[in-house]
Amino acid sequence: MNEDKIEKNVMEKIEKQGVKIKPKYIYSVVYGVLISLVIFFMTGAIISSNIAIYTIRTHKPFNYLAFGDFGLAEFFNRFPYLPIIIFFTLTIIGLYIIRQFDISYKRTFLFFVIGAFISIIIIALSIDSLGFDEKIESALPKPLQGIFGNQKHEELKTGYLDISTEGEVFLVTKYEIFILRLEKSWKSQIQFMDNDCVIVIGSIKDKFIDVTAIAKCK
Amino acid sequence: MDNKDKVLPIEKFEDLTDEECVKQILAGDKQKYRIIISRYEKKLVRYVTYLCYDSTLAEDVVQETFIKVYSNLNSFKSELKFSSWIYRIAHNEAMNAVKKFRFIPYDYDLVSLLIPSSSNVAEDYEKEEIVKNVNLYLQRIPLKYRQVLSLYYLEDKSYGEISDILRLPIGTVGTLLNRAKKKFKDLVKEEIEK
Repeated sequence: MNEDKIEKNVMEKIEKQGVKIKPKYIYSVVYGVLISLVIFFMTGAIISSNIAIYTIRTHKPFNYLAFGDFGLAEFFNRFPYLPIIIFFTLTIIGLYIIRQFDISYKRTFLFFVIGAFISIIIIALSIDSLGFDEKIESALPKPLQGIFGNQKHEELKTGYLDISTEGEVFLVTKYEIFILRLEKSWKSQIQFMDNDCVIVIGSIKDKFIDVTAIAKCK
Repeated sequence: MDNKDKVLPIEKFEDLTDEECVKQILAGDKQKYRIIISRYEKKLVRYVTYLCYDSTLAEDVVQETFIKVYSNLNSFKSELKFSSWIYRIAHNEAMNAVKKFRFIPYDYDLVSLLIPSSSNVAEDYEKEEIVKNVNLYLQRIPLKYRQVLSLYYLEDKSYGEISDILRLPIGTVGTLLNRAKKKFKDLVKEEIEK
């Protein structure tokens, strides 16, 4: 094939074989869809990162690392894996779509990656600091409230803490146990005071918590 | 055949810019596409040949490129140079072809295609020898370096245009070009020392 033949073949396809110019609206629709997808994925990433931040703030999974081996299971139990996985997945998909736009190669793509992650986390932190999560959670119907984290202690408003000593009066908030009085005989190197906030590891038996480890809240 | 479908001599439209041609084609004057083809076919065949080292494959790729460019004319944005846009489409088509036919033997006959001929036979021969040698070295350089070298030195494109064609930041183009030059120099040095 020589170059004249290229021209001949191309023009023949255009004139006789019906190769047509695609209408402009197709590109507008594709552009609109891409923009909408970027907005959709980035909004999803903000929501999931916000849930992760809220869960970490309220469930304090890192506090349980203070228990050493005892605390690992509870740390893994409380850590918000799913929102974090969703956050990364949606951000990566959003960035992949942004890469299709011409703007993406004018700067190093790493700039967009870092920018997207920082912006999403800042927005999520701002939403969290404004207290929207608490409002949203309380407004949700009860079965849906679980999406914000582990609710298994909620039913324990007051009760007894079974720490293999005399029963003590204490108060359980949604996520924390406030001790009013602890037996001095309880073997612990940590000094607990009345109204101290503690975190415990154990299992719930009726209205009792069988505690295997206890630490002060940070 | 109505008036606007008549084949007109291309020389008449030398003053018409690519962008003006595109406007007229979009307005319905299909024949103006001949001007675009005549302006770019040699350049694109040459560039694609640098990438895939097969002149027949390069011609097929360029033909596909022209059809793709025509059907997508409405997506051409005026902020980009038309030449960068058409090179980008040719580049993408060439990359698809290279991926499809991964092991392409070097085609020595393409040397004549890669150099513009002059009236001086001796000069032509010398140029041919230089291009032959340059191509032998180019073939041994990884594709990512080969494409920037050929665009900058052989196609005479600026950093900005290469950035638009390869969809890379300008800084990256500069880095790639420096590395490519170094690789090329090392290869030549190695060959001389042998």
